[in-house]
Amino acid sequence: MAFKFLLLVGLFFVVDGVIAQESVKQSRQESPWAWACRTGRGCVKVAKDSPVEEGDNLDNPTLAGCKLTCNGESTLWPKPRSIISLSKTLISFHPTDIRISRISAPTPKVKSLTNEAIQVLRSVIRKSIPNTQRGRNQTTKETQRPQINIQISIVSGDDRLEMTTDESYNLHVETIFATAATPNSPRSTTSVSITATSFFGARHGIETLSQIMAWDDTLGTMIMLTDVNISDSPAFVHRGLLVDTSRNYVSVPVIKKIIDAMSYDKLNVFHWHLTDTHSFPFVSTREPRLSLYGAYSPAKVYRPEDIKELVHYATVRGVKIVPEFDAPAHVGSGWEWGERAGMGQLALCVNKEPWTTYCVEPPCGILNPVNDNIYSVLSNIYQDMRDLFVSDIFHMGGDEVNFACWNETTEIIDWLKTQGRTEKSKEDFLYLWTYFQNRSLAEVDKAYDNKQPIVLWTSGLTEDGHADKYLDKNRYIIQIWTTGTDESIAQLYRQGFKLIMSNYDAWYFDCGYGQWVGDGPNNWCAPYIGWQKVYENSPRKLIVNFNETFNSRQILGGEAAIWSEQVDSTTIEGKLWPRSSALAERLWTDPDTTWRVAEHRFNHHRERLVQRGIQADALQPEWCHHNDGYCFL
Amino acid sequence: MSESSRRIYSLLQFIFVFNALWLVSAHSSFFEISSPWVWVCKESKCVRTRASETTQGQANAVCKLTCYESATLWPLPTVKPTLSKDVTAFFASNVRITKLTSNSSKTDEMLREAVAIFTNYIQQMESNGLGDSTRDCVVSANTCKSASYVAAQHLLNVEVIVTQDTVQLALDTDESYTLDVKTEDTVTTAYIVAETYFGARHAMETLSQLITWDELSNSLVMIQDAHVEDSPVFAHRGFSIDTSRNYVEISLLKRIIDGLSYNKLNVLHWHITDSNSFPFVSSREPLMAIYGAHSARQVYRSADIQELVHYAQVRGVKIIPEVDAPSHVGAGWDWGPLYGMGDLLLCFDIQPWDAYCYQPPCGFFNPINDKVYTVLGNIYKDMADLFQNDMFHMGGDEVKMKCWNETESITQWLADKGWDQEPDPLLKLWSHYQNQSLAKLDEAYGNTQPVILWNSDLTAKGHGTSYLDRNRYIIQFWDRWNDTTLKNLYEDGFKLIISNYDALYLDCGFSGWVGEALNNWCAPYIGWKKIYENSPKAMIENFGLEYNKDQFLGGEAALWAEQSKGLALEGKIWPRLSALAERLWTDPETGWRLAETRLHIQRERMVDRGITADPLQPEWCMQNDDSCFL
Repeated sequence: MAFKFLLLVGLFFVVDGVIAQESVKQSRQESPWAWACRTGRGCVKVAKDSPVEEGDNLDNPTLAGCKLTCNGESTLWPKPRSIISLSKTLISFHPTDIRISRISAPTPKVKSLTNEAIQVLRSVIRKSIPNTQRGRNQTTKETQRPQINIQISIVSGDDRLEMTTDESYNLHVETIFATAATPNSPRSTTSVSITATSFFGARHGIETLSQIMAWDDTLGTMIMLTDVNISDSPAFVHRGLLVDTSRNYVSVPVIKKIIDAMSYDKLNVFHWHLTDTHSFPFVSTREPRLSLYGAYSPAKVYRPEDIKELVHYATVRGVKIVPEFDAPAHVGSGWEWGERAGMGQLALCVNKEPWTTYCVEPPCGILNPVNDNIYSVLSNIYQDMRDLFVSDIFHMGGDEVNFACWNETTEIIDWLKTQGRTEKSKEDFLYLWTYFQNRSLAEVDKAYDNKQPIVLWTSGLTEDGHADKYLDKNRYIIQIWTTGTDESIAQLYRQGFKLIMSNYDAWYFDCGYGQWVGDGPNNWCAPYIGWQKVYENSPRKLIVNFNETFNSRQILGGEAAIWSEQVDSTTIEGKLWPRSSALAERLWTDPDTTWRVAEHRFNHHRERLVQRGIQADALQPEWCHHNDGYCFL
Repeated sequence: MSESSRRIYSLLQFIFVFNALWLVSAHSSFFEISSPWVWVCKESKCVRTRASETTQGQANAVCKLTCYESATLWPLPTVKPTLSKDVTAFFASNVRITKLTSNSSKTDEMLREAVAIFTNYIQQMESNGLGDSTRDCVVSANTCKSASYVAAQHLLNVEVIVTQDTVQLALDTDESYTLDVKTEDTVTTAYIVAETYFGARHAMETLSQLITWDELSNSLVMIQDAHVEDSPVFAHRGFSIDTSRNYVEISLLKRIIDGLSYNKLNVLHWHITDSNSFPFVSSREPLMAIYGAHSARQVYRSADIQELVHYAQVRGVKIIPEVDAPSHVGAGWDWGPLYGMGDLLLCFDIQPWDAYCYQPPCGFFNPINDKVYTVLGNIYKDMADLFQNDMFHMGGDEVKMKCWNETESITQWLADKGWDQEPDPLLKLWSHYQNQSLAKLDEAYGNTQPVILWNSDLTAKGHGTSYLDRNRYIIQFWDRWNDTTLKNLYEDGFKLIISNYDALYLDCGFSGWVGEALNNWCAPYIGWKKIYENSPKAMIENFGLEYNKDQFLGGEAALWAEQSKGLALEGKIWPRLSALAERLWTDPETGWRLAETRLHIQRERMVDRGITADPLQPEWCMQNDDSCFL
C-alpha cells in the first residue's frame, strides 16, 4: 500500500513554476529529470523520458527521496555503529503532524532537558523547509493527516555529561498504513520510540531521527523513512572541537552556532581555549582587571551570564564545555597591572622583542612562577571557572614553554639559587615549571574541591624522561598535538597516560592559509587539510602503527583545533564545517572504510548543515551531489 | 577655526580619558567602563599606551586615521594626498548634500543613489559604533553634554560636480576625481569634482574612508582638511565569479558587488554557465535552464539580472557575461535530439572523463550542427537585452580534441570540406566555430565590441596571430606568471587581462575534490601578499622585455566555484581581492609590508559594512602596529 502511494506522488512532481514564469511557451514546465538509485553508484540524475538502465531503481525518484533510501546508511551522519534495519519506503508529512506522546524521565531536570531537545528538533525541521514554503497550511483534514507519535524513555537522572556517561540509544520507527482512507482515520500512523540510558543518549536519538527526515523540494513536503531500527553508541567518549577565542574574539552567537553544528554531528566536547597572550576576554568576577586590561575591547568579552547561558545551551545539545586556562606560557594580555597593584611582576616578558627569542609567535609572555601573588590570582580565576562551567575535566594548557625569558630574569635566577639550583640548565627550568604546575594544580583542586582529571598539551614537560617523573598518569590526560607519527605518542601511551588526539597534521583546521607573520607564502602547518585526511586520521590506527595493541580505555578520543590567528566570528563556520563532520564520524563510528565510501553521505550532510543555517564550505560542484559516483578519477 | 575645534576635541578626549581612569579604580563596575588603553602616534605608528600615562591618547581607529601618511585609504590614491592630522567630530544625522551638479537627469538620478549609499555607510558606522548604547543627546532639547554638543552641531556638507553624462562604464571611461575637504567653524564641506559619475562615486568612497568611529568621544570623526587627486592605473579591475559549478544566490552576488565597490574594483566577470549547470534563464531558449539548472530555484531570471546590472552600475561596477564555449558546455544543451534539433552537444559526461576533458562532466559543442549557432544566437540576443554592449567574454578555454576526433560525423565533415589535409584540421574546426559564433554575437548585439578569450591552443604562438584578430580579441591570461605563453601573447600584440592562476585563483589550496589528491590542482592557498605583489610590469620585465603598460587592460582574480557556495565563499574572496584592488588601482612600487596595516583596516571596514571577510592576523597586531613581523 505504502509503495503504491509513493509511486503516485512521484509522478506529480513539477518544477515550482519559477522558470515557467519566464517561459513564453511553457506555462508550467515539468522538470525533465528524476533520480535513479543505481547499483554501485548511488543517486544519479536521469531524464524521465530515457530508458531505465539495468539495475536502476526509480521507486523514490526525487533527489531527497532517493538520497534517503538509496544506500544502507541512508543519509545518516555520523553513521550509526549498528543499523538493524532501514526501510526503503517513505511517508510525507507536515511538521505539525509530529506529536510527543510520552516522555519518561526519572527527574524533572532530565524531563525539562528532553523537552528542550524536542524544541530543537522542531526548529531544525522548520529550518530545513525553504522560507517560501514555511507558511503553507495543510489542506487535508486534520483527522486524515498522517500521525507521527514520539515516545522517549530515559533511565538515569544524569544531567551533566561526563566521560563515563552512557551516550547509547535505540531508535525504533514503525509505520502502519490505513487500509482505506476514511473520513475519521489517519492515512498512516508512525510510532517513534527512543530509548536511552541517559538524556545524552536520547538527544543523540532525536538527532538521528531528524536525519531520517528531509525536505523534498520536488514534492514540496517533508518526507521520512517509514520503518527504522537503530542501536547506536559512540566509539570514543571524547569527541571535540577546540576553539581559540584569544587570538581573535568569537562572538557568543557564533559560539552557539558552533554548538548547534556540533550537535548535528554528535560531537560532545567544546574545548574552549579562552585566553592566551593576545587577549583575555574571560570576565573574572574575582579578578576584573584581567579582562579590563586584557580584552580587545569592552565589547569583546565573555561575561558570567554569557557563559552560564552557553553552558546550558550546550548541555541541551549534548555538548560539554571544557575550559582551558593555558599557563605558564601563553599568558600576557590582562596580566600587566601587577606592579601598579603592588603585587610585583605577575607576567614576564610581555610583548618582549625580538619575539623569536622568547616565544613561538608574537606577543610573548610567561607567568612569573616565583611570585606568590600569581597563585592567588590563578585561584580566583579557577574559582570563577568552577562557578560557571560544569565540566568533569579541566584543561591546564602547559604548552610551548620557552626558557629564555625565565633565564634572563634575575628574580627567577635568584629563586632557583635558593633551591640550590645554580646551573640555569634545562633541568633547573623543568624543576621550576614543575613547581608551577604543582602549585597551580593545588589551586585548581582547592577551587573545585575535588581531584578531577587534568588535561595538558604535549610539551617539554611530557617528553620522554620527564612525563613519568613529573606527572601522575592517573591524574593527567595528555592532549597530543605533534604529528601523528611522532614517537612521543608511543612513549606516553606506553607510560600509561590517557590520550586525546589532536595531531596537527590532520586535525588543525587553521593550517594552510597565508603566512600571517613575516614573509613566506603559507602558515607554519600548511597545507590546508582536506576533509579526506581528517576522516582518515584514526586514533586507533595511529596507535597500531607504533606496533602497540590498541586499548580504547587509554585513548579517550580526539579534538580538531581551530587556532584563531586567522579566523574570527566572520569566517569560522566555513573553516570548521564540514571538516568537523569528518572528524565526528571518525570518533563516533571509527569506521574501517575510507572517505570514498563516505563521500556521498558527506556531501549530503554538508547540504543539511547549510539548510540548518550553518555556513559550511562547499566540497564539490553540486553536479557531483546530483550524480553520485561520477566525480572520481 | 581648526584651532578652536582642536581644543574642544582635546577637551572631549580629556573627559573620556578621565572617565576611563575614574572607572578603572572602581573596577567592580567593569561592564560600564572603557578600556584602560589609548593609542599615541609615534613615528607613524600607533602605540598602545596606558591612558593614565598620556594626554595625547586617542582611540585606535582615530590614531590610525591621523597617524599614517595616507590615513587609512584603500586603495591608495595614485597621487599622494594632502591630509591634515586633525579631526572633527560629528553625528551621522549632520550629513547634508548641498549641491549636485551634472548635465543629465540620468546622472543626477545615479548620483542620488550614490549619495544614499554613502550616507548609509555613515549611519551604519555610527550605529555599529554606538552598539547597544543610545545617544541621549538632542540639541534642540538641549540635553547634550558640552563635548557631544560640539559634535551634534557640526555639519558635513557634500557638494558634487560631474561634467560628462556617461552612465555606462566603458574601458575609456574617465574614473578620476578630485576631493577637497575644508573645515570652517562648525561646517566641514567635501567638494567632489569628477568628469564622470564613476569618478564621483569613487570620490564618495574615498570620503567615507576619511571618516571613522571614535569610541572615546562616542561620535564620528573625520579628517578636517584634505586634498585628494586620484585616478586608476588600470582600466579593467575585476573579479570573475563562476555560478555554474555551484549556484550563487543573487543576494550574494550583490554582496560581492558591494565589496567590489568598497575597493574601487569595477568589473564583475560573470562565468554564468559551464558543463555543470546552466542557470541563465534565456527567454528565447527556455529549455536551457529547464534542463540545465541545478534546480528550479537555482536560476537567474531576466528581472534578477536587470536589477543586478543596475545595482552594479550605481556601484561603479560593470558586469561582463561569459558564455564559455565550445568546451565547458554540457548541462542545459542535452535536449537537442528530443526536440528535433540533432546533437547540440557531444561527449556529455563521457567516461573516463579524464581522457576527454579536465573535470567531470565533460561536454563539447557539436560545431558542425548549425542549430548550435541558432541557439547561441538566441542566448546572445537575450544577453544583449540585459547587459552592457561594450565587451563580451566568449571563454574558449581547455578544448581537448579527443572528443571531436572520435566523432565520426565530425571527421567525415572535415574530409568533405577537404580540411583533413590541413596541418591541424581540428584547430581549423575550432576556429570555424569561433568565427561562426562571433558572427552570431555581432548580429545579436548589432556591433563589433571587443571580445575576450581565455588563453588556449587557439591563442598559442603561431595560432593566435593566424586565427584571431588582435584588434578584436582581448586575451585573458591564466597560466603561471612566468609562462612563455604570456611572452608570446605580449609579443603578438594582443591586449591582455592578467589572471595568472598562481597568484589570482582564489580557489586554490583547499581539499582535493576529485580523486585521491589531498589538495586541489593549484594548491597551495594563495596569501594576500602574493596577490599584492603580482604585477604585470614585473611579469613582462621577467622576460627581459620592455614593459608597455598600454597593452594591459588590467587584471582579474577568479573564484572557480567547484568548492565555493553559500556565504562561506565570501571569506575566500575578501580581503584577498582587496590586495588585487590596490595593485590595479595604484600599482604601487612598494611591497606588501607597507600595505599590511592599511589592509587590515580595510578588512575591518568591510566587516563593519557587513562583508564576512577573513581575518589576516590576531587582533593584537592591529592594536600593536609593526609587532607582527619576523
